[in-house]
Formats: sequence, C-alpha cells, structure tokens
Amino acid sequence: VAEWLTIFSDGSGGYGDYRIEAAPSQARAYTLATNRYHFSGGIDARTPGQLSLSPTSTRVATQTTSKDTAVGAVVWTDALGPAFFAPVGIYCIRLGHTNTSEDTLGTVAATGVCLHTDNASVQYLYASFGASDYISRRVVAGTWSQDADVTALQMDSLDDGRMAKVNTNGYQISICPAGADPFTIANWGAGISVGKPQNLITALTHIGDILIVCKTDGAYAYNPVNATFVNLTPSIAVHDDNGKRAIAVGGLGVLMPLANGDMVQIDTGLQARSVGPGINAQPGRDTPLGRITAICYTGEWGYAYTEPFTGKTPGAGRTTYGLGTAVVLEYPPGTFTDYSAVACDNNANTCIELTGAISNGGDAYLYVGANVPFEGAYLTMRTVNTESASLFTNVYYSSPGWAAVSGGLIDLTWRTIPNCGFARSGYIGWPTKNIPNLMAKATVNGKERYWVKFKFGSIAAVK
Amino acid sequence: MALAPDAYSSSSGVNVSTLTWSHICTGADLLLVVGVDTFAGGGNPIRAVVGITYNGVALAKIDAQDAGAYCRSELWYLVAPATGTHDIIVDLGGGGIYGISGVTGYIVGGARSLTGADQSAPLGTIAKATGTTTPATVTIASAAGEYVVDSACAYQATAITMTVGTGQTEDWNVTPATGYVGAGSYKAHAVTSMYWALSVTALGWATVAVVIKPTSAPASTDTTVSELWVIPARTEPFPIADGYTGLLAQVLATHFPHLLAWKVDNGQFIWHDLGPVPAYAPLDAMAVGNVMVGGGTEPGLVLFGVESFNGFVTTNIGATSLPVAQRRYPQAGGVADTKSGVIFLSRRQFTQPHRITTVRIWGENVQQADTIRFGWRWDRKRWQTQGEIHGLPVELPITDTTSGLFLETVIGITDYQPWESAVPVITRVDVLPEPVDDALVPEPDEQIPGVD
Repeated sequence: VAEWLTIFSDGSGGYGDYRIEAAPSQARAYTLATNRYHFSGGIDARTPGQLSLSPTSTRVATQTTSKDTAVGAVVWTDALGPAFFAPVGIYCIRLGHTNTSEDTLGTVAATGVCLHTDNASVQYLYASFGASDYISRRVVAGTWSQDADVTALQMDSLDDGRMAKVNTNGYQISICPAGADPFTIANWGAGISVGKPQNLITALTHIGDILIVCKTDGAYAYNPVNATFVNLTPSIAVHDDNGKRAIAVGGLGVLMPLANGDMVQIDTGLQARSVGPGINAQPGRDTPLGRITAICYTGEWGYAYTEPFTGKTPGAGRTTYGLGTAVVLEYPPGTFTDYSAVACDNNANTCIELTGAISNGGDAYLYVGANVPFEGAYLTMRTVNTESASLFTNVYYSSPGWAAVSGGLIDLTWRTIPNCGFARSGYIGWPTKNIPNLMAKATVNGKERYWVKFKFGSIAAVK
Repeated sequence: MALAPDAYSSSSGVNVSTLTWSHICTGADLLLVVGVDTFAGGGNPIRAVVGITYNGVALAKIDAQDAGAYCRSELWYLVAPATGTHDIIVDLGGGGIYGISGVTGYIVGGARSLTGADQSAPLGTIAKATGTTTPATVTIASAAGEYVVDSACAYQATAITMTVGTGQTEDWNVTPATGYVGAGSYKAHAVTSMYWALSVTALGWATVAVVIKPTSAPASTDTTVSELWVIPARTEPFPIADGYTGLLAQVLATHFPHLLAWKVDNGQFIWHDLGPVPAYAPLDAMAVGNVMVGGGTEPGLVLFGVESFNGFVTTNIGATSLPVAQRRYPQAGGVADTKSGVIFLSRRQFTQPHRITTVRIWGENVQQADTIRFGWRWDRKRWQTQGEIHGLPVELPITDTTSGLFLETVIGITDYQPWESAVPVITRVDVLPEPVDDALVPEPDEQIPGVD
C-alpha cells in the first residue's frame, strides 16, 4: 500500500536541516548523523519551517593587476572604516564601503598577512614575503612601510600580545615579546624548531596565547615543560597541503583543513578530532567534497570554500581495480609511455613527466583513461609550469574514434589565462556535460578504456 | 631561482705572498665571491692581489680600495665554481705596489658562495669607501631579491675590532694580530648601505661591496604531475522542461567550487552546502564581517573571498549595503536576478523497488509568476522532471518511467520578481511512492558505473 513520503517538512525532512530525522514508515531510515555533511544544494535550510533562496557568491570587483594566489584575508577597520584586506601577489586588495583599492606591497609576492598591535598600541596590518624581502606593515591611514632586516614566511598575533613568525627555513618559528616592535630584529627570539625539518610549516595560528603551528604532518602545540612542540595529530598522513588556511575560531580552538578534504578541530583543551564535512560520508554518493581552500567564521556560523574533487577521488583512481585509471603520454609521436602506475600512487616523488611533451608542443598527447566514463581529472602538480602559453589546444574522447570536445576546457590549473594549465593543482574537465554518455571504450597502448586525450599546444612567447 | 647563501670560509697569514684555504660549493647557479685584505706590517707593505684561483680556475677582480698605506681590501668573483671541496689560492705575486716582493705583512682571506645567482651578469652596482671614523660604511643600493657582499679591513696601532652591521650576516671576522682586522659579510634584499662598527677610530679602514643579482627566473616548461585522478561521471544534465538548465545544472554538476556553511550544535559540527561558486576558480582566502560594501549605508554580514585566477574579488551574503539584487542574508530582500534558481536535494533509500506517482508541494511567498521545478531519479539513472509548476500548494501526478531503490529528488525555484521584500520559500514536499515488481528493478549494469 502506497503511503505519502515526506521528503521535506518544516525544515526537518531533508538534508538541509541538521537535526536527526525520524524514519519514514515505508522507507528504510536514512539517519542523519551528527558531524556529517548535509547537502542542501544552494538553498538555505537553516531556519526550521522553510527553505529559502540561499546566498550565492557575487563577483563585485575585479582585481586586474595581480595574477597570484591570495595568502589570506582579514577584516580591519582603518581610517576609512571597516574593510576586507587581502594580499595578492605584490598588491594588497582593500574592499570597503567607499573605497576599493590595490596598494603596492613590494616587488615580490606576499606570503602571509596578520593584524598586530605593538607597544605603542598602534594597529598594523603586517605582510610577509618569505626569504625574498623584509616584512611590511600598513597603518590605518594607509601608508605602508618596510622593515630592513626581519623576514618571515607567515606571522600571527597571539592574544597575550606576542607576535610569532615562521622563519624562512620553513620549519622554525620565532617570537617577538608583547610590547616589542616586530620591526626590530633584536626583539625576535632565536628560532625554535617545530617537529622535523623536512615537514614544513603551512600555517601559524593560536588558541589564546598558545601557539598552534600547522605543518604538513600535523598540528603542533608548544609544551613549556620541555620547551618543545608536540604533534597533536600524529596519525594524519603527511601532505604538502595539510594545514593550509588553518584559522583560530575563538572558543572552538583551531580548525585545520587537511589535503584529503577533512578538517581537524584542535579544541581549547588541545584535543584533536576530525570534524570535516566528509566525515561519515558515503564515498561517491553523498558528497561532492573537495579540499577546503578558505575558511572563516563569525559568531554562530562559519563558512568555507571547497575545491572540487580533491578529497574524494584518490581511492577511486587506483589502477589495479576500481576505476582502472590509465595515463599514457604520446611523445614523440608514435611513442607511448605508460604512467598509470605513478598516476594514482599518492607518492609525490613519482611523477608524470610532461616537460618534453610541452617543450615539443603540437605533436604530443596526454591520454587519460578509465574503466568507466568520466567527466574530468584532478591533477596534483609536482613542478608547476611558468609558461604563459596555452598548453592544451584540443581535447578528444573515444566515442568510438576520437570526437572533439567543443567549448574549451574547464581548467582549474591555470595561471594567468584560461587554458594555460599546470600552474597549480586542480581540475580539468569539459563544459559539455553529456560527454560521459557519449564515450565508448577504445584501446590505447594496449589498454582498453574510456579515453580522453589532451593535445599539447605549441609554446608561445616566454613571459 | 632566488639567491640563497651557500657556504663561507676564511683564512689568514703573516708575512706571506700566497694564501690557500679550502671552500665547499654546493648547489645550482653558483657564484663565488672572495674578499682579500692585506695589511702593512713587519716591514712588508699592503699588496695588490695578482690572481686568485678556485679549483685552478681564475677569478675575476671586482674592485679594490686602499686605506692609505695601512690596509687594502679587494673583492673577486667566479661564476659557476666547481661544486665540492676545492682550494682557493690567493697570489700576491711580485707586483707589490709598495714593494718589490709579493710578501705582505698580514693577510685575511674569506669566501662566500651563493646559489641562484645570475650566471650571465651576476654583478650589479660596485661601491667602495675609505675612512678612519666608525662605522666603516659604504653606500650601495640593491633591490629586493638581490644580495650585497662586502669585504672590509681596518688598522689601528692599538687593538681594534669590527662588529657587523644590523641585518648583515658575518662570514668572517679575523684579527691576525692586534690592530689588524679583516672581515666580510652579506646582506639580503633591499640594501642601502653596508657597515661595520669599529671599536675605536682607525688609522684607516677600507671596504668594497658589490650587488649580486639573482637568476632572471626565465619561464620554465618543467612540468611534472605527481597524481592524476579521473572523476567518474556521476552528475548528469538536468533537463528542465523549458530548456532552462542554468543554475540548476550548475548546482548538480560537482566540478564547481562550493561554499559550505558550518556551525557547532551541541558539540557537533554541522555542514551545509550552500551551492557552487559562480566562478570556476578556487578561492584561496576569505573573511567575513559586518563590512559595508558598495554604496549602501547599513552594515550587514558580508563574505569576502579572493579567487586565485585573476585575483577576482567576490562577496557573498548580502548586507543592505549591497545592491538590492545582491542582498540575501540575513535580511529578506530578494534575489540576484529573475533567473535565479535554487535547488533542494534530498535522498531516500528503499528496501524494495519503488517508483513515485504523485508529488505535493507547499510554500509561502511564492507568486504565480515564480517557477517551481521538481525532478527525481532512481539509482543514479537519468533525471526526470515534472516541468514548470506555478502557484503553491500543488498536487501533481507523476509519470515515473523508472524505478529503483535509491531515490533522489530536487526542487528548483525561479523567483520572477527579485525586488519583492519576501523571499519565496518551500515549506513541505511529499511524494507518493508505490512498490513495483521486481522485474522492473534495473540490472546493475544499467546503472551509472563507478559510483559505488
């Protein structure tokens, strides 16, 4: 006997609401677990009793003079009022009510940003430039000044007035005491090693006056008893992107994104636990999860941006079973090199070597295959390309034979212009959504798969 | 490639005409800079260096500065010195400028090697100075990314020492005898001067400094990919009846960056997917605050994000300071445009095969001109839609041509009048499923592969 099934009611029947629902009588219960991901797909379901149009992003300004990656963003009240600040490359964006500007920070790209108040109770916005230049700071009036001897990769201001910085060797931190001027190199203490030197620091944050150092192998907290840093998350797998964009969230402690799409919370008791959106998710069915690339919070709610796919596909890509991912490079023409074994081994030291094919241009193809139709690929770069040329000119899929993908590529590995790939890790796909339905198996280099082949373009003028 | 310090070394001698010491070079794009200070003493005068070799390869002279007849400082360099441990040999020869032999009273030699140096034109500005009062300083300007290397010497009849200037890294500071001191250092980045503080006024000091330029960082085609993972097809086009596939299709397509909202409720993290970012680019930084953006006058919660591509700035969650079309939250205030669509995705797992026969939808503030779309699919097969729905509440029969165990439903809204003060909301959705025969259950190979 058919019965009505309520799939949404009063904000409690769907995934948009976080509360645990009761099991419908005629369907197996699909219990919403806590600490898990609730896909509300572009709708605001936070208010019980209604679904409303959700917030969506709007591009309100274009920052045209820099092509680099933002190193952080802060809200700061300067002389013109509250505004957002974000160093991007050699510029600092200011987005406020009546004034949107780009200040020139220096001649090299910034690596970090933080707010700090020094001994004279003067508020500054600090920017660091790694080993390439000395730190700079901006006063509320808008003037930037640069130090003459202090370098830092990143900086953070602790609640007790101290300032911490990541030294340019990447694995040590130094402390500037409360009330001391960070522009005076003598005020900075000696470098303190955090963990192993080969695991670099990815973020610097704090819980109150406790410095939390995020590294590629975990989150470290300072142990004053023996003056060492202790890894609070020793079980996570080392990855270059672990900890990037970690933030302090007041009473919640520190949130540390991981490369696999998860997020770790370090609470005020220095206890670590997984709280990411993918926890308890059913892989391949529940979540479109990717790596968290930016995160912020205010009051009750926080927000995060995710990059697509990065967190969910590694296991699915293994070549021996599952998707049977195959990667073959045709270069020079007629010569095929099989990179399938290194494509999905999660080992940064085994690489698909594209250099020769890119230099050659025009006559080289990268073949990507799988046992199932697919809609794109995620590339984790080891050595990024600095050419400005368009690297993929055409894409074809096996259909059978080779059919061209029209409409260009969706390329998240770009640097300066669309279709200029390999400047960062990211997704490459195609805008025509029905291609997976049109794909057919073919044989390339002895492997029968659903294939897509990317044609390298010729190298244009060097930047 | 940025400049970076490699290694330093030093040695000294008394009444000699040559000086030899070993130095280790390691790295790429190497440059070796050698400083030599000679002093008058023991009846032997200061000397001009005739030649310097490293691993048997001759260095080139950069410049020299005398401090009267008391001391003399010189700088030499070699591009691409051999890596490994090799001897530096300084030859004072027989060409002494104040004597006929090559023997000098005291000599201090030091070397500094750098990696990442421009291999075709590694030297920039050269400067030198002499004087007697402290500090021993020379004015020289360099740019960010460049280094300055110096050599300095000082002489006094009594004890004298030199202390390296702030920001400089001391490579050698040698006192071969009381009153004689030779030293060398380097300083990174934007330098305006190099200096050494003297413990007492000298009878004479001399210093030479040179700007070292980094490699010009040519564009590189070096490209390696450590991992490559295919994305199995699991999202399909969402065929809306009127052909409108814009935002609904975008939301269903998972290759867009998504904005998530999170909160902590009773100690647990709760996550909501607020939908895709309209731009393709990932966002690398974000902040949220009550910042008035644009021409408004009232504060409100605004999200600020920076895209990595072209540095675009995006904001999110409209405050009343945003233009009306951009206001979203927390105030009710309309939507972005008349084509804005949102969806609500829900999923159910059945223990027996089902199909749906009817859908009921309730809502508030939904105008007749607003459009509701309802879609569903079974077991990840093709989406089916009910087409356009106008006016709520509504109960509609469904023609479900498929069936299965795993049901996904989607609701879309298009708000026709974004200037309306009230946001259209859906308050309830029911579907009426009915069991079907087992024969209608799809075979496994009919499903989209790779999803489980």
